[in-house]
Amino acid sequence: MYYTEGLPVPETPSPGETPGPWERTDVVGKPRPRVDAYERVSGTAVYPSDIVLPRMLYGAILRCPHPHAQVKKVDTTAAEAPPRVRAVIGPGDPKTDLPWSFRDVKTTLFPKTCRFEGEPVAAVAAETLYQAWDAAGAVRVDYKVLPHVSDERRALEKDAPKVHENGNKLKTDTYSRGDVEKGFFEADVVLEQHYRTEAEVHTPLELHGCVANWDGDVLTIWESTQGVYAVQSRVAEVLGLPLSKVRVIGHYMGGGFGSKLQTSRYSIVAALLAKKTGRPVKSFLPREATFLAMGNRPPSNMTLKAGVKKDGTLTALSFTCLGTGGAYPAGGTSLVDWQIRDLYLCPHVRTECTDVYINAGPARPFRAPGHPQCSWALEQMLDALAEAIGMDPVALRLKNVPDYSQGREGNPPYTTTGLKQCFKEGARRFGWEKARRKTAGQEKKGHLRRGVGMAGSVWFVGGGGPPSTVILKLFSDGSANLNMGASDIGTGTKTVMAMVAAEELGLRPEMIRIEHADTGTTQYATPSGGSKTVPTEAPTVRDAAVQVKRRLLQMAAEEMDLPVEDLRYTGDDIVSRSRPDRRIRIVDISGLKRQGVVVGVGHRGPNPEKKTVNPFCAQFCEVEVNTRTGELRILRFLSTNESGRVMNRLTFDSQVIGGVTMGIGLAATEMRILDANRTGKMVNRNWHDYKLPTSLDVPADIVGVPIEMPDAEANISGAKGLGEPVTIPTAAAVANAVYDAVGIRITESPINPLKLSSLLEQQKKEG
Amino acid sequence: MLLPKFDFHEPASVEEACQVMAEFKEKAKPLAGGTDLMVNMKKKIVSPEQIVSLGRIDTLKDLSRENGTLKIGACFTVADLAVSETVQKLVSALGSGGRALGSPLVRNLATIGGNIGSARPAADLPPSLMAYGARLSIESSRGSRELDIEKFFKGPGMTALAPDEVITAIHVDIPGPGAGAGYINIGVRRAQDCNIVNVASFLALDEKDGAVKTARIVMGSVGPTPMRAPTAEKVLVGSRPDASLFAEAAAAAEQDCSPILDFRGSAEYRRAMVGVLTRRTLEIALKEAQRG
Repeated sequence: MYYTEGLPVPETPSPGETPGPWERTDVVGKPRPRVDAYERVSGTAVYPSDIVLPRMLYGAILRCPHPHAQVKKVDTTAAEAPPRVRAVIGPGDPKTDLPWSFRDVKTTLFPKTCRFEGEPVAAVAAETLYQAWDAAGAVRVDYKVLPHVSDERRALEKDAPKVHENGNKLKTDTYSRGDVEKGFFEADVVLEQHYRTEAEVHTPLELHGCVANWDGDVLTIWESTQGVYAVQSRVAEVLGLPLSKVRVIGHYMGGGFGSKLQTSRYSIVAALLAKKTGRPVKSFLPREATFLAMGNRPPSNMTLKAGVKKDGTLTALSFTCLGTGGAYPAGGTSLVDWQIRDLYLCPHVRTECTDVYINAGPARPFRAPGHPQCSWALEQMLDALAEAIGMDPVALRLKNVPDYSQGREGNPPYTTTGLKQCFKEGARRFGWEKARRKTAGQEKKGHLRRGVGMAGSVWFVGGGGPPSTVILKLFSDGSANLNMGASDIGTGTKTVMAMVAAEELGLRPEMIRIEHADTGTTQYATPSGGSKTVPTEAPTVRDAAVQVKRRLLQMAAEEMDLPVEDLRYTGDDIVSRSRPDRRIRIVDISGLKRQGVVVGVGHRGPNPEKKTVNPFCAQFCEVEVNTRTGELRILRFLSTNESGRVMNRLTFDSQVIGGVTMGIGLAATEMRILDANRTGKMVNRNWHDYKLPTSLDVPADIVGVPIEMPDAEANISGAKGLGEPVTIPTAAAVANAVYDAVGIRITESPINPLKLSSLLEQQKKEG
Repeated sequence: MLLPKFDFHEPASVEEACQVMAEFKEKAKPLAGGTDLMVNMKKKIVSPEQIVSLGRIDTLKDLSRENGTLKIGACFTVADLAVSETVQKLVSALGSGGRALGSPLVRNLATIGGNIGSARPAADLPPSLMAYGARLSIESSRGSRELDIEKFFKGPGMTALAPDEVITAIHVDIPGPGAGAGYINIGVRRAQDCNIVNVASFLALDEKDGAVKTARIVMGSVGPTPMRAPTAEKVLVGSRPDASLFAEAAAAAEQDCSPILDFRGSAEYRRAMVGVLTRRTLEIALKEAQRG
């Protein structure tokens, strides 16, 4: 072949046989820049925001300015008057005010009762963006402002305003094993503590939005999304269209972190405006609207009671959480208790999670939903227990590492778990013991105090699974085209898949062109989320590559008149095992020349039965607290991750840096501020007042350490997820380090100078 | 968010700019970078009908040294201020303010004149300029005048500038030997933040006995405008600088300010930080003054 590097390729399994793990790899696992790096950096990559179509109109959605209001009357007369306004739609018209739902709670595109600030009230399409927003501003709405509840801690009070007619309680989920009272009785030390994490907003760089265009009865949507098929199915359902007539394209997208997994009302609205005007409509949300209406990591109010024996054996965990998904069912307490159930060995566990409604934007999955919140409570508690029994925090955790999932029915074993190694290797590489001795012995008089902290985690999923289909097409010159439905949400999915195909076929990754994320032309994939994209798609791509090799071997066998079992695919050519002088170059195979291409269809095989596939992580950090100002400097971070096989060493590190950065946001800078006592409106709906950590708030010294244990049982790539595990323990590790530095347990996020200095002041007063 | 409608003027000289300002007065706003003005226009907080860009007037971008004075053009960018060796050597506290402002992208656009003219109580450049005793050149078609920067700020976004006037230059007397200044800001994060407190201090020592001859302490973000700390300054003048004197001055500064509570921070925290930053900026100023 023209495009091989002469690298050895894996043996081709016989038809029906599952490929074994790669014994060695020459491409996979090496550091490799993105296959689309040039396009991304040069600006030639076309994101949905960049789409401009001939005769395109601009859409604008007017949103409710109140957290709770009845829309009494909408007068669009003035909105229709400005020049070049082409369509105005609003509540009440059965053709455009279509049914919409959040899980099983029904509403409409333009609801009569708005339950959060930012619910759509009306929409317009005009020739320019300016005219569209002028027209939206000219829509006259009579609101009857209703009393609101914007703090979940008050939602269940007797006189709290009701978000829905049947009250503010959505549900309470409980879980129990063993007998916690017995567990607490057996414990030598029992501690109880309340914790809270504030709401965070995803706020990805590319805004939420789409371009919608009708061609006859076929609708095409260019959408900034994590899953084109997810958008396709919802749009088709709401508009009553066959799936075949809805094409959703999302080649490049500028980040989502979970907020672009689902379909939003704006996509339907754009389609309706496009239908009404007979013109393409581009509709992207302003930044402020994304803060209000495009999801959040909801706040969690958690109480954890834990018992431990003197030797470090955990005896009981009792956990309650009050959370909120906002104004509609949206997973307000989703997975918050998972690590309580599953991370550490513990015979007696009880959890109770209550999800309530408030008048605020609905939550959406946010990088490891529920987990960083749980970690904030559990991992601070573990440290407190360790201190109480005089044990090292790492040693206490090591004492309680399970090799099976206690939280799941039937206690299935993990296919692999490197949690122990994460703790041990992390502590070794970080220099944990030495660092602890140093901070313990530091002079307590100075105003700059160092501290070190750590935390561990498990992620609820991360193993991926079916369904997924990809097509790998080998051209007659030996270059290849990979066709897959999955979105690359910025994590480097395309690059990893090119590396997998390259590994299996012996090709140079640059010779592989990827077509992806288009329901019209690419294969089916579930949305990219849950840290499952690589463990779902990589085995699928490998399967497709194996199919290509098998087909080539078949063709060569016919041409060489040799039994197929006698032939071996080497990358460049196909050789006879019994008579090595008989060989044929791939590009010379006449079948390939005749057909022009050889196609391999790959499918994602099933996950192992009665086992569970999960990634693990431990993180260590060092901080410095200025006791005069309350300033917190995070000096260094080390993340050890057991995520199965490392697919690309470079994107591995990128995930670690990104996850730690996001976790530092939760720990120290980020919080959604609602004016709960008065207007109920969000106060900090922009990048100036909502404090994402800047590059100066994040240490340059962030080290990723892979605990590489290729997981042969999980799937045929050996990979598990990484993107979410890397952000789970970060905030808790910071809080533990702050405790080590100044002896204050900060149970409520974020640890900013204001909070830290007032706690330091209190500590001084109390002596 | 989108900008409201406006007419755009791009004069090539100060005279021309003054003519446009004279013609439109209250309806016009000078644009000297836009990192504040454009944001407020997008938020519809202000909607001037006429925007008068000063970006094409090259004379406003100069930095020059005349006798004992540093003259900085109003359109000298904050990015240049942050890296200028001249600024660092002669008026380092102003350089510190420049480096504390926004992010590299913001600093590339923001100008010293704009930072003064927008008159935000938490702005990074006014405290050190006030501490250095800077003067502003202000021009209009009616003529030009010079104004002590301390008399310039009237309230948040409010200044002594008449509707037809523009700031053209900032003059800072270069501190002689035995004088120095420092500037420190504090926020929730380390960049791109609205300061919770920012303080600049200037000290000039008596050549003979090393006692404090002149002291100017300027506190930002704790009142409607950056403000002097008169009691703290009085504590310093006439005494020999040391740690206990600075602690006393810091305590006095805490009482000199009148911070507000808002979602960015409590009044107590702001007051406490005025003390910390006063002491720390005095230490920097002293070190610079004693460097000789």
